[in-house]
Amino acid sequence: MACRAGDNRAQRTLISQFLSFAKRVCQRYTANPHETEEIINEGFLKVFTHLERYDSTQPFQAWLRTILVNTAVDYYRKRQKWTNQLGLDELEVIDWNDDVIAAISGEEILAMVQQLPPAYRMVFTLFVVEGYSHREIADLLGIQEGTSKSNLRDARRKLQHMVKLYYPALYQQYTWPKNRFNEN
Amino acid sequence: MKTDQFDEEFRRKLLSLPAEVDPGEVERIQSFVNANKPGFLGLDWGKLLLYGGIGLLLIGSITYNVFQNYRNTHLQSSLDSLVHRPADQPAFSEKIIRDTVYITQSSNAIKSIALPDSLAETSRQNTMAQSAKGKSTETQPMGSIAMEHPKLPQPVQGGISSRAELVPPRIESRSTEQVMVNPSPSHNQRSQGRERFNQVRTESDESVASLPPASRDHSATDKTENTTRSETLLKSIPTGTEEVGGHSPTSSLSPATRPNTHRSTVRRQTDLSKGQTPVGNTRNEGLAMNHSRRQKQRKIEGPPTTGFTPAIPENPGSSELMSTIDRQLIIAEPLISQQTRTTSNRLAIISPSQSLIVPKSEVSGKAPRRTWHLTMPNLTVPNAQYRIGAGLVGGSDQARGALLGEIMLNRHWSVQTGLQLGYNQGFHYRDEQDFNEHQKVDFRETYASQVPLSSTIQDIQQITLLVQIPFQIAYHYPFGRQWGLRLGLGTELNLWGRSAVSFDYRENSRSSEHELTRSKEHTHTIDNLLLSTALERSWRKWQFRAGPFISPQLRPVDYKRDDLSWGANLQIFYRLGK
Repeated sequence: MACRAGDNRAQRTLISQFLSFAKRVCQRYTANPHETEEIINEGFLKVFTHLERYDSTQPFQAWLRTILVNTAVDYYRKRQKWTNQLGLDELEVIDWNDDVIAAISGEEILAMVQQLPPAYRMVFTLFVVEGYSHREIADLLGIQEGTSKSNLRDARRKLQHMVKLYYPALYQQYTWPKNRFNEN
Repeated sequence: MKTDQFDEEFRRKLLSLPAEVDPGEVERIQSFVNANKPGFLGLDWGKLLLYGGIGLLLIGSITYNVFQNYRNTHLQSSLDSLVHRPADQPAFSEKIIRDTVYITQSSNAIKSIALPDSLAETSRQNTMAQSAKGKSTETQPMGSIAMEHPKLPQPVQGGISSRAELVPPRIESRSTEQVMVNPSPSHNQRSQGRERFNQVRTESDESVASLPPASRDHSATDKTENTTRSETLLKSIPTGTEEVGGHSPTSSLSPATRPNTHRSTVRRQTDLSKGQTPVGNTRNEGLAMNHSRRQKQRKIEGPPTTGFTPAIPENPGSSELMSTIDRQLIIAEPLISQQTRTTSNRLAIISPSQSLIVPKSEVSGKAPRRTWHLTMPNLTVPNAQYRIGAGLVGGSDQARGALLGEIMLNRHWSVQTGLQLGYNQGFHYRDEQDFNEHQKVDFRETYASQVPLSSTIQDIQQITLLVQIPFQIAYHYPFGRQWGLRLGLGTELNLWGRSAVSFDYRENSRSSEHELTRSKEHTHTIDNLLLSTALERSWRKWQFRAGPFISPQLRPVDYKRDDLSWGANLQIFYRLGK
C-alpha cells in the first residue's frame, strides 16, 4: 500500500528485500553485469509503475520473477536482431559425463552460460532454469518452435565445448573414449 | 537421459547461486525509478511537454488558418458588394421625388462674389467630391445653395445679428443643391445686368397688370420701392470679385450697402420663416437684375431626396469655410424660369451651417438593418517577419541537416525551430582491448558474442542517428544595412534515436568480416544546451548565416564522446511576405 502511494521509504525497503533475488534471475539472461544492472532497473521500474496490477493473493516473488524474465526478453529482442551463425559443425560431439558439471562451481557455470550467444542463452535459461516449454519460449522470443529446439541443442553443445576448452583436466577425468562395444 | 541430467545439473547450480548486493545499488535503482517514472497519462514529463507543445502548435495553426480564411471570405464578399453596387443600384430611383430648384440669376453687378483663394479651393474640392458622388449636375465651387421659397422676405437693413436668423426654412421634401454662380463676373456683365434689370422690371410691370387689383396696388407700391432699392443695390454692387465676408480689398462699397446686399436676402428668408409676408414684391426684387442673354436661365432639378446626402465639406478647413460662409452669404445668380418669372424671383440662399445630411433611413422610410459580425481576436504578431530555410551543422563528432523556420519578433529578437536529422559519432576504439579498458565492459560479451573466440576484433565504432527539434532564441545586432551579428541560445529536443556499433573481425585466414549491430537509443528529450554565434548577410529577401557553436551536455549520454561538443553552422533563410 505504501509503495502504491509512492512512499520512497517503502520503495527502498522493497528493493533491498528482493534485489538479491532479482539479481540471480537477471544474471542468467545477461552476458555481463552492465546488462544485469539495466534489466534490474527496468524491471523494478515496471514493478512500481504497474504495482496496482499485482494480485496480493499470489506470492510477490513469482510476480517479480515474471516481470524480470519478460524484461530480459524485451531487452534482448530490442538489441539482438540477428540469428547466430556459429559454426556448430566444428563442435565435436562429446560423450558427456554429468559428473564433470558437478565438479564445476556455480559461478563458473554462470560464466559459461553468460558466454553463450544471446539467442542460445535465452532459450537455454528459459527452458532449463525457468521451465518454459518450447512453444512458450517461441511466443516470448518471437521465433519458431523449431528454432527454439535447435537453439537449445546448440546451447548444450556449446556448453560442452566450453567445459572441454576451459576445464580440460576435469574433462579428461570424467570422460573416456568408448570401446568397440560402446562401453567405457 | 543424459541430456536431462545435464540440464538438471546446470539448473541446480544456477538456482543455488548466491547474488551479492552492493549497498549503493538500492539507491541507484530507486533514483532510476523516480527519474523515469511516468508523470501523467503514462508519459514522462519531457514527452508530455513536447507532445503538448506540438498539439498546441497544431491547434493554434489550424485556428489561425480558419480565422484568416474567414476574414478573407468576409473581405471578399464586402469587395464584391462594393463592386456590384453601382451596377445594381441606379443613381436615382423612380420613386424619388424630384425637386425643382429655380435659380434666378442676378445681374453681373451682384453676381456671386468670389471666395477667397483658400475657401475657393476648399469649395472646389467639395464640389468635386459632390460631383464624384453624382449628386449634382452642374457644380461649381461652393458658394451658394439654392433653395426654393415661395416668397422672399423683405430686404432688411442692417447686419446679420445671429446665426439663427440665417437658418432657412426647414427642408422637408425639398432637396438642396449646391450651385455656383459665375464667381468672376466680367466688367461687361454689370451693363448687361442693368439691361436685364430693366427687362425684368418691364416684365414685372406686365405681371403686375395681370394681378388682382389688391395685390396689384400693393405690388405697385412695392414696385416703386423695390425699384428704387434695386437700383441702389445695383449701383452698390461692385464689378470685380469680392471675397466672401465682404472683405474686398478693392471694393469701394460702404459696409452698409455691400453686406446688406447679402444680409438683406437672408433677412427676407428669416422674415418669411416668421410668417411675415415679404415687404417687397419678389417679382420686383432688386436683386433680379437684367439678365444677359448669354446667361441662360436654368431650371435645375434637384437631386433625389432618397439616399441623397448633400455634400458637407470634409476637409480640415471645412469648418472654417462653413463659418465664413455662414457669416457672409453668397447670392447665387438668379435665374428666371419660364414659369415663375411673373410671380417671384427666387434667390439662392445659403445656410451651410445647417446640417443637410439626411439619413437614408429617414429618407427611404426603412428601418436600419443590423448586421452581425463575428469579430475574432487578431492573432498575428504585429510587425513580425517569417522566414524559412535550411541549415547544415558540422562538428568534431557530428553532422546534421535541418529544415528551419524563424519568426522575427522585432528587429532584434527572433525564435527559431525546425526539424533536424543527423548522426553523432560515438566511441571509436582500435580493438576490443582498447574498448574494454575505456568502457570497463567486455566488448565481446556485449556486442560480439556470436563472433568466434579465436577471431580478432578491430575498429570498433559507434554511430547514433538522431531526429531532433532544434529550438533557439536569438538576438540580432545589425550593423549596416546588409550585415549583422546573431547570438543564439537554445537546445535540441530529441525525438528519436538509433545506435549502431560496427566492428571488423578476422578469423584465421579468412577475410575480414564486418558486423553491425543496431539498437534503439534511449534518449532524453533535453540533454544539452546550444550556444551559437553567426555572421549574417542579407540580400533582398535572402539571408545567409555562418558561425560557430558550442554545445555542453546537461547529462551524459552514450552516443556522445565528450560532454562539450563544438562545430560550425551554415544557414540560409528566405523571408516570407513583404
